[in-house]
Amino acid sequence: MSLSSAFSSALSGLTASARVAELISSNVANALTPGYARREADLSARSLGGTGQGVRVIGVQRDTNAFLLSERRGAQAGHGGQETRSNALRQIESAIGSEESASSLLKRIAAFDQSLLAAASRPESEARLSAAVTAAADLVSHITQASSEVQAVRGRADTSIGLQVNRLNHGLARIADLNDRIKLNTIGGADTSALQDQRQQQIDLLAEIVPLREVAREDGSVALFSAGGAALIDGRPSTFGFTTAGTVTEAMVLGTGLSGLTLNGQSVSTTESGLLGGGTLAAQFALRDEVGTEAQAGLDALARDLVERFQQSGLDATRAPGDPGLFTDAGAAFVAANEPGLATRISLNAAVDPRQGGEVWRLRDGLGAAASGPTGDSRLITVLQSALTEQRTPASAPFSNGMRSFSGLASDLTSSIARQRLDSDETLSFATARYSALQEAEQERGVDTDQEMQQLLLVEQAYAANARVMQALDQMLGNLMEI
Amino acid sequence: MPLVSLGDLAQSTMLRRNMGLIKTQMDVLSQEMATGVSADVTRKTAADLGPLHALDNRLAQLEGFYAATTELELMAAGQQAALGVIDGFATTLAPQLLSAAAGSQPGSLSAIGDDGEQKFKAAISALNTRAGDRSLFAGMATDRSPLPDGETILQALETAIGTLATAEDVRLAVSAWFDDPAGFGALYQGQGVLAPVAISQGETAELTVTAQTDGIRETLKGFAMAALVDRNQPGPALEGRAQLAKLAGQQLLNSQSARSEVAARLGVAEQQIAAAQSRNSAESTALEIARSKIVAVDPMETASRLDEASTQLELIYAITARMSRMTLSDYL
Repeated sequence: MSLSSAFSSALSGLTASARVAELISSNVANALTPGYARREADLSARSLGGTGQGVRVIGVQRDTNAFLLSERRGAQAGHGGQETRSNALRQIESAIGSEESASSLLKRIAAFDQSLLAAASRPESEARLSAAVTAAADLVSHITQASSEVQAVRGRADTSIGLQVNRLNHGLARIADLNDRIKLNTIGGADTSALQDQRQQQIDLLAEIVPLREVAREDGSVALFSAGGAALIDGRPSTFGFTTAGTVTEAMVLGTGLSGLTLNGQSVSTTESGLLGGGTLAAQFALRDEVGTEAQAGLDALARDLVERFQQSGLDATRAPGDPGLFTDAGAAFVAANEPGLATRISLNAAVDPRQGGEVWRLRDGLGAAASGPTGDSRLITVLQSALTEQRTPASAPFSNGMRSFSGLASDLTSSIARQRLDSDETLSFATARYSALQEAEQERGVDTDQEMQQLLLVEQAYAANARVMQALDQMLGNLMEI
Repeated sequence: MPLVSLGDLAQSTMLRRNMGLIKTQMDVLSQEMATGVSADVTRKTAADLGPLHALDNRLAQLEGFYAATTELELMAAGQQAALGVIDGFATTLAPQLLSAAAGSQPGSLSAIGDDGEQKFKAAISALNTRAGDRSLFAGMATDRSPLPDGETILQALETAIGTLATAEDVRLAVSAWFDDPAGFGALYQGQGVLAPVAISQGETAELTVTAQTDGIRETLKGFAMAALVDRNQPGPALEGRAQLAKLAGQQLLNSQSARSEVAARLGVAEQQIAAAQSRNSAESTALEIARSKIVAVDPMETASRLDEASTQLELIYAITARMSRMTLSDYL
């Protein structure tokens, strides 16, 4: 034990205090940085030849909790996926027309029904006939617009898949790169906390797309797996393959016109229960390949029911057998085999539509009538009105059996989409609650400036004490020198 | 490590999230307060929209029925008024004809014949009335008048029957001409009868009276015979003309029951329409009430929830301000 070793101890105390103060200042500076893990210095007593020789900083610890992190990432993916689905269902619901909007499908049907009743009471009135024809045209355009909105939702999902696949590929490459740098720095004995922070941020960016499991390797790198079990980074980054379709139409489905997903060249399942299920990627695939096609099938079945109601034989004597009814399949008569996509092609018979060169009086006198008949003849209009309201069994699959009026059928379709939206909203609110709870739990472990200040006080005291020790040693040495 | 610290971000995130939640809630509540209708009907009905859609649909239909019944009512009233005019003519002319026939004076016979002709023409123009630009007695051909003017009809009648010997011959010929599809029927411009019109769910009303209806045709025969008295039928002899005037008077009296039947039939239709109308409006009111029960929100409840939310928000503001002042660095 000598004065010089006491000097050395005091010096190590000063150095350690400075190092701790540096960490505190870094913590305080990053108090508002999301994803920043609080740093803490690991201190230990230095010993030389069995005796204490001051203090040393043996390392810097990032204060993270692997369990919370992985739970939060899972919740983030679940929340993102649910939000995607919920938003899309809301768009589909508003395209068909929710109850509150003035122009819902149901209101269009009611307006058509009402205008037929009014026209039947005064069949000679050009205004009444025009109103009925306009109401029919509005109904048709509502169905076609809803159908194109459904396809637009599918199209946006397809584009979004393309962007997410891009982000995944780039993100995985960057994470692999950070992995390499962390490995090198660990071997070189340098502080890797900043790089680890960066890597965690990069992983967080991808966590929404696919739920991720992080496995730490001994060399400081991490391996990433999807919750479903696909290896995304294990040493090397994996690459995903996907081709964006551009415009999506009702004829395009997964496999015909729409691309699936490949992982390192192998095609992988894109369903929620598949290897990559659980995040926004699988949710967009579900929108494109399930929710969107189901909504389209519902609209097609609805359009079919409408066309068939007015295409029945015996409804209108002036119409030749096999000719289209009041509503047509793009101008032609509807054939049962052509149901897919009918909702986009349905149109009003040109014979009654003034915009297509027709005459509104054909609504009263028959679609095939060559000349206008007696102006007070309301028989056909009454027949048309009852064709719209009569109880009929829908011919196509999406609807369960049972007789319904046309508005009853439309009500079933609207209710079923509203039901899906409501369910999805409820699931979303659970997912959001879980995600924000985990986020808060993670942030609770973040930087607390009060605590840092308190520590700073300690550091200040320690620094002053060490300096005092040095001063005392200096005096002691001085005393020796004066002898 | 035991939790001895609480991250700064956690606190501010929690406050921010709660503030956002309350603000969204207030937005919804104030919208509901202003409109009186639930902001998300789908949620309020748990997506069971069937009953609501059925109500909406029925309400729209009732509006359609309202238009139909109002117009039918107007038309029936128009027809009833025209029939009233014709019936009035017949009941005043018949006794005059009989007394003129009994008196057998050339002057009074001429006068009554003239009067008969005027009444005939007036009856024809009553049948040609339009209500709301809709011909009342032409069946489905609502765009045209059912008959040409009275003079044309009388001339056609004269041409068809020629000059006959006895009053009885004239009566038979006039009656035959009015019943003949090639005679009076050929002048009639109307077509068929109006189809039944729906006036409420599953109920239809029809107005089938036209210028060809029996009661009207029988009355027209009487007027036509009276008109012929002053048109040298059957010949200039006073006795024959007096006889024709008598037959015309009897024809008008005899057709009374047929006219009443037409008026009664119309009356039944009018009553049916009025009943349907009041039923429809009662139903409409009931449905409106039922609809508002489904979609409306309780204003008391909404107001108190809005109040609650604003108190909550004020509390959050207070806490935020207090918390931001609580920092150790201020005391160092």
